[in-house]
Amino acid sequence: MTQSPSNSWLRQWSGPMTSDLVRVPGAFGLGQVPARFMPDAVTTMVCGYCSTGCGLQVHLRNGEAVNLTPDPEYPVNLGMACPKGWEALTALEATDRATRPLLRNRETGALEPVSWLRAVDEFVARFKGIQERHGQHSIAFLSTGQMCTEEMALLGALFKFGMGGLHCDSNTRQCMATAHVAYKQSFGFDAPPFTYADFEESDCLVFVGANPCIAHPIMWQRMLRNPRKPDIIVLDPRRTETVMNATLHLPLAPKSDLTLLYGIANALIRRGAVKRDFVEAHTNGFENFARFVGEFTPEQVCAAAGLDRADFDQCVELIATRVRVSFWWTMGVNQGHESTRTAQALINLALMTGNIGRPGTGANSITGQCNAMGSRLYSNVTSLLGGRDFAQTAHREEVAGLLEMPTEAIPSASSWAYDQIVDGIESGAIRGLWVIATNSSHSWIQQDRFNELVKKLEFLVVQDLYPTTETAQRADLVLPAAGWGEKEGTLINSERRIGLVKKVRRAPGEALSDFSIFRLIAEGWGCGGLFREWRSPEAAFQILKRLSAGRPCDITGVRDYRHLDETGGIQWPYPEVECRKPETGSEETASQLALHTSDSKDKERRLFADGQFFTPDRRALFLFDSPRPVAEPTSSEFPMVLLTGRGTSAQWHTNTRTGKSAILRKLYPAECYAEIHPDDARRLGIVPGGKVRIRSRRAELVANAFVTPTVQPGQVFIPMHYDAVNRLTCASFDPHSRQPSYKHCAVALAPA
Amino acid sequence: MNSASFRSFWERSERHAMMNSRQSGRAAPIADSSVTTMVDVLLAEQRELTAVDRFSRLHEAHAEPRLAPHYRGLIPLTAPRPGEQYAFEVDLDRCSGCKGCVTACHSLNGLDEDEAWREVGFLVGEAIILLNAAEHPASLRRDAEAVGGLRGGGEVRTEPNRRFDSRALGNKVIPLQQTVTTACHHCVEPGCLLGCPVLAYDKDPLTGIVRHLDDQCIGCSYCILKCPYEVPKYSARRGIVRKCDMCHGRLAEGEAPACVQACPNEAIRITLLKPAEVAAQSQKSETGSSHRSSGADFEPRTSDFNEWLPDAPDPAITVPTTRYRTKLPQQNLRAADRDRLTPQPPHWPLVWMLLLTQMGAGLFLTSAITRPWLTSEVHRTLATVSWLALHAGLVASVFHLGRPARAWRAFLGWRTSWMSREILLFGLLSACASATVAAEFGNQVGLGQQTELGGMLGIVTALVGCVAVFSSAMIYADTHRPCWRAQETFIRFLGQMLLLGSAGAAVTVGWVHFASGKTAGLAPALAGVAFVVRTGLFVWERWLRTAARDNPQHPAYRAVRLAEGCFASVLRGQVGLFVLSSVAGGLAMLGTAGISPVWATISLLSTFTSSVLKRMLFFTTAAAPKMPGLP
Repeated sequence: MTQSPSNSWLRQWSGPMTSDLVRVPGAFGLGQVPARFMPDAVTTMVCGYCSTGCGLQVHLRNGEAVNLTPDPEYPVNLGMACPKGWEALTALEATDRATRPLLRNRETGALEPVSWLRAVDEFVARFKGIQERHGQHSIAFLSTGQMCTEEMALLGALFKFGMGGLHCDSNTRQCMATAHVAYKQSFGFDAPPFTYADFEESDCLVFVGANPCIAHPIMWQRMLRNPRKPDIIVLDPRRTETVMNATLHLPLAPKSDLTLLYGIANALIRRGAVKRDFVEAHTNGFENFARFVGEFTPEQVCAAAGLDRADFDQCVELIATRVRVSFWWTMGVNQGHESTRTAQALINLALMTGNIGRPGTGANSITGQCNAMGSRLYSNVTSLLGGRDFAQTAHREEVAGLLEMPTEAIPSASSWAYDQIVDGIESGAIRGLWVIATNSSHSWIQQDRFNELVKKLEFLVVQDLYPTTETAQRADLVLPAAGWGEKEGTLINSERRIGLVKKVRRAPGEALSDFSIFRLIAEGWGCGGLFREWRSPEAAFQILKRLSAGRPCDITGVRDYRHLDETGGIQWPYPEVECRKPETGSEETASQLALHTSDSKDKERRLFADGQFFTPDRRALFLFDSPRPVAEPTSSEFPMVLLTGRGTSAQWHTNTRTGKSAILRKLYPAECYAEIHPDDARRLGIVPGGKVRIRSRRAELVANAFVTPTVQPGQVFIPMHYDAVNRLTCASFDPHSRQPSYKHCAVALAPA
Repeated sequence: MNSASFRSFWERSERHAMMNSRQSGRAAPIADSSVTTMVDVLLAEQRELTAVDRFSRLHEAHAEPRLAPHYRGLIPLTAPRPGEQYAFEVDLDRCSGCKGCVTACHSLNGLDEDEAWREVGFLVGEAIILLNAAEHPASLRRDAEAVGGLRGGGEVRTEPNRRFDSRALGNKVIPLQQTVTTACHHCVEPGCLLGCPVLAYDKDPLTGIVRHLDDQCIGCSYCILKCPYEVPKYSARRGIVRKCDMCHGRLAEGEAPACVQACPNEAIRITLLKPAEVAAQSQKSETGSSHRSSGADFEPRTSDFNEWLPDAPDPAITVPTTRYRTKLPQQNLRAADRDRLTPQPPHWPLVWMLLLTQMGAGLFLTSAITRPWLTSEVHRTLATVSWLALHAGLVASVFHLGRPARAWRAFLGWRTSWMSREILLFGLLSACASATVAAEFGNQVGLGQQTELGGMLGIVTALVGCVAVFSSAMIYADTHRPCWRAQETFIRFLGQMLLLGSAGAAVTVGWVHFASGKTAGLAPALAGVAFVVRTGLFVWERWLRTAARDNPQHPAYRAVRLAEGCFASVLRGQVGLFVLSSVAGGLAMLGTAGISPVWATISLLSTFTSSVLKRMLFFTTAAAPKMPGLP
C-alpha cells in the first residue's frame, strides 16, 4: 500500500479533516485505534446488558473510559460483542441523565430538583407515614436484574431487615422466574447446569422459544465453533434468524409447546430411548411421568401443534440417537401461562435420555438480564440470601448469625410476586412503591392497567439513570442513579460466571451508585447500624461469600475482586476447600458439588457430572401437569394471536438505554411495526408498508405493516421494545413462577 | 440516627442554605450531620475513578493485535497484484443478524455520534420445496433437509413467485429471511468518483480502495446522488461527506478492517478479485440473466454463490466489487423496505438555482429570438432581467455547498463529472451574459456600433444557456435514478427554461411598453408562447403520472407513488396554480396595454410558485435506489 501523495495546490490529500479519522497503533494488543481515542491504559469488565456476560476491554485515558472493544481473552466472548456491548458507554453520555434528585411539586405538578438531604428525608417521611397509616407491609419495591449483586443484596436486606417491608419483587419475574422455579423444584436448587463450552460440544442442540442469533449473538458464536456438525432443532412459531440456520424447524402453534414436549417424551419412551440406568440411579417419578405422557400420541400432538408428522418423527429420532443432546430455552418458554411445567418438560427430556452432566448436554435456561442470576440467589426477594428459604427457621437463624442481627428481623412469610403487588395497589394494600432500574410503565403486561393503578399510590419513587422513562415520568420522587461503568460490583451470567463491573466513568451531577443510595437511605431511615459492614461493594462481596458458604452456590474460594479480575470471571460453585486443593480436593465436597472439570478447570465448569442433584435424596424429580388452555383463546371477534419478543440485538427491553445511541437507532425501525403473514394481509386488505390497526380486548395500537411469511397465518408479531405493545397483552400468569405470559393474546387486525 | 433527628438536621441545613443562597446567590455549604457528611462522602467517592489503581492492567507492549489469530484467515495473505483489488465478501449463510459490524466500524474508526459506514438490511421471501416422492423415497432425513436445511445442501428447487396450489400439491412452502450488511462496494467504476467535481475521490491504483479526500471535499453532495448505494454520508456539522475506506491503514499493516475483526461468525472477509472480470460479469447481469430474471418458473438453484442481492441497484451502473455468498435462492427474496416510500431531501438551494438559471437562460433565448421585433430599450431591460435571474440562481447554488471556500477547484473533474461541466458552462454563460449586458448598455452610452455586437453576443449567450441547461439535466440523468431518466429530465428542464423565459419576457416587455406608453407589442404573443408551453408541460406531467401510477416497471413509478402518497396537497396546489397562471396568462394574451402586464405578472408569479413546488417534488420524490433496508 502506498502512502497518500503529498498535497498540491489543486488536491488536498491530507489536512485537519483527514486527520480526524487517523488510526494509530493502540498498543495493549488492540491493533489500530482512532487517534482521538488513544488509550493510556486498558481494563476489562463485563457488559451490563444481557446474561451472556461478555468481557469488554475499556480503553482508558486518565482513568476515564474513552472507548471500548470486546476482550479477546475473556472466556465468554473471545473478542466479540453484539451492538449493545459495543455501544455500552453511549447510554451514559445521554443528555437526559438524572443529575439531581427530583421531587414532584404538589402545586405545579412538575418534577423539581432538590438536595439529596431533602430527597432522603422525603423518602423516609413519606414511606414511614404510609407504614404508620396502613401497616408495615403497605410499601413495596420493584427492582431489577440490571444491578450488581451487592446492590441487590443490600436493597433486599435493607427493605426486609431494616425498613420492615415484606412485599418486593424484581423485573426478573418477567424474565427468569420460571427457570428459577423449574430448577429449584426439579434439581433442588436454582442451578443452571451448563457452561458455554456445551454449545461447542453438543451433537444436537434443541432450542425452544429461543432465538440466540439475535437475542444472544455471542452464544450463537460459540455454537458456530462447534466442530461436531451438530443438528440444530428449533421449536418456534416464527421462522427466526436461528431457524434459518437450523437443520429442523418445528413451527408449532403458539403455546402448544407443553403438549408437544410431552408428545416427544412419549415417543422417546416408545422408541426405547430412555437411559434406564441413569433414571433409576438419579431420578424420582419417572414411572408416573411415563404413564402420564402415554396419552400424548404423535398424531394427537402433531394435530394440536400444527406440525407435520415427519418433522416430529425426525425430532424424536435425533434426540434418541445423537450422543450429546442439549436443550436450550429462553423467553418463549419462560413467558408462558404454564411455563414452569414447560421448562420442566425440557428438564424431563434431558433427565430421561441421560443428557445431563456430560459435555454438550443439559437442560439449559439461557438467562435474560445481565444479573438475573445474581438476583435469583442474592436479591432476598423470593429466596432468602444465598438461595435459602424464608420459611425455614434454620435458614433464617443462619443468615441472622452471618449478618450479626436478630433472627426476628427476618420475615418468615414470603413476598408477593410482581402481579400480586400490582393487585395490592388496586386493593389498597400497597400504598407506597419504590421502583429501581426498571420501567414497569412500559414493560408490565397489560400496561394501561398498571399505569392507571400507580395513580392510586400515595408515593411512587423511581430510582434510575434517566428521569425520562415512562415510569419516572409518573414518579413523586426520582433518585438519580449512576449506571454500569460508573460503579463497582459483580454480575452473574447464564453459565454462573461471576464477572466484575468497574468504575471507568464519572456519574453526572449528583447521581450516586445504587449501592450508595441504599446506604444513604439506610442512614436516613435510622437503620444504618445494621449495615455498617456494607461499606463498599467489595466489602458486601465478602458478606455474600460468607452467605454462600456450604450452599450449592458456594463462592468462598473467590478471594476478592482482584481474583475475579485476574481469572476472567469465576463460575460458581467455587468453594474455598476446592480452591486450596485443586487436584485431590475434599472427596465429599467435590462429589457433592458435582463439578465437571474440562480442559481448564477454572474457565469452564458444568454441574451434575456425578448425577448428584441438590434435593434431599440427591435425585432429580420428574414434574408434570396436564396442559391448560391459554387465558385468552382466539375468537371470531379477536381471531389472531399476538406474539411479542425481541426485535433486534440492538435493542434492550424498553430501550431506555439502547435508545440513547444514534448508531443503535439505525439498526432497527424507528416506528412500531407488526409482522403479518402475506395471506392475512391479502385477506384483510393490509398494504405492505402501510398502517395496520391492532386491537385486543384491552387497547389498540397502529403499527407499520411488515408483510412477511416468517410469521404463520393467524399470528402477528410485534417487538416488545415499542411502548404500546404491552397495552395489548393479556395479564395471565404461570401458577408456579407467576411469570407473565407475553407470548399469547387474542387480537384483531384491520387496515388503518 | 433516627428519622426525627435527621429531619431536624435537614431543616436546619435547608434554612442555612436558603440564607446563604440569598446572601451569595450560590449553592450553600452543607451542614454537618451524619447524613450530610455521608452525602458528601458518597458524592466524593462517586467521582473517584478507581479501575486503574485497583485492578490489573494489560501490558502496553503487545507484539501483535490479540485478535489477529481470529481474523488472519479473513484477509488476503498478500497485497493485490497488478490487475487485482481488495473487495468485501459477505457470507450470508454465516451472518446471524447481530449487526455488530455496524457498531464496531463506528467505534474502531472513531466516527461521529450518528455516523455509520456500514448499514444493515433485511430480506424476506419464500421457497417452494418440491416434494417428489419418486425421486426421494420418504426418508426423514430428506424431509428435515427440505424443511430446515436450505443451507445444509441437498437438492432444493425453488419457485420465484408463490403459487396458491403449491401447498395443495404437497409441496412445502418455506419462509426465508436474511439480514444483509453493506458498506462501500469500492466499485470498479465508482459513481462517486466519476461525479465528483473536485476530484475528492481516489481509487487507489494498488488496492482498488475508493478513498474520499476529506480536505478536498466541497460538500456538494453530488456523490450521494451518484452512488446507487447511499454510501457517502453528508455531515452538516463538518460540511463534507465521509465514507468507508475499507480501513486501508489496517490492511496495510496486516490488520483486518473493523467489520471483519468484529463479526462473531466470520461472515465478512476481504478477498482479492480482478476488476476486469467483475466488470464483465456486471455487464452480463445487465442484459438479463441469473437473479434479475424474476419471471422464470421453477428455476433450479445451480450455484451457492449469488453474487448480488435482490432489490439492490443494478450492478452494471458502477460495478460494485462486494460479493454476497449464500445458498438461499435469491430470486425468491425481497428487500423488507421495498414497499416503503421515503421522501428524499428537498435541496432548496438547488431548487432555486435550477429555476433561476433556467429562467435566465430562457430569457436570453427569448430575447435572442425576438430581438428584431424589440426596441433597444427592451433589449437593455431584458438583458438586465436575464442577467439578474441567472446570477441569482448562481448565488443560490453556493448555499448548497458545505465548504464553498474550496469550490474554486470545481473544474477539476471536467473529464467525467457533469457537475464540473455544468459549473464550467455556467461560468461561461455568466461571462457571455455579462458581455451581452455590457454591449447593450455600451450602445446606450454611445460607444459606437454596439447594436450588432449586442445581438451577436445575445445569440451566443442564448446558445451557451441552452447547453448549460442541458448540462444541468445531464447531472441528474447521469445518476441513473429511474425517475431522472434523460428524456424526462430534458423535457422538464428545457420546458421550464422556455416557460419561465417566455412568461418572464412577456412581463418585461409588457411593463417596458406600459411605462413608455406604447402598445403591448410582442407581450401578448410571448404570453401566448408561455400559455402553450405551460399547458404542454402540465398535460405531459399528468400523462406521465397516469402511465406510471399502476405500472411498477415504469421508471417514474416510485416517484409518482411518493408524490401521491406524501405530497398530495402539493399536487393539488399545483393544479390550482396552473389554473390561475393559465387564466391570467390568457388575459395577458388579450393584449390590452393598460392591464395585460398586470395579468402577465400574476401569471408569472403563479407559474414561478408552481415551478418551485415542481422542483421541490423533483428532488423529494426521486426515490433513491438503495441496498435492502430494514422493514
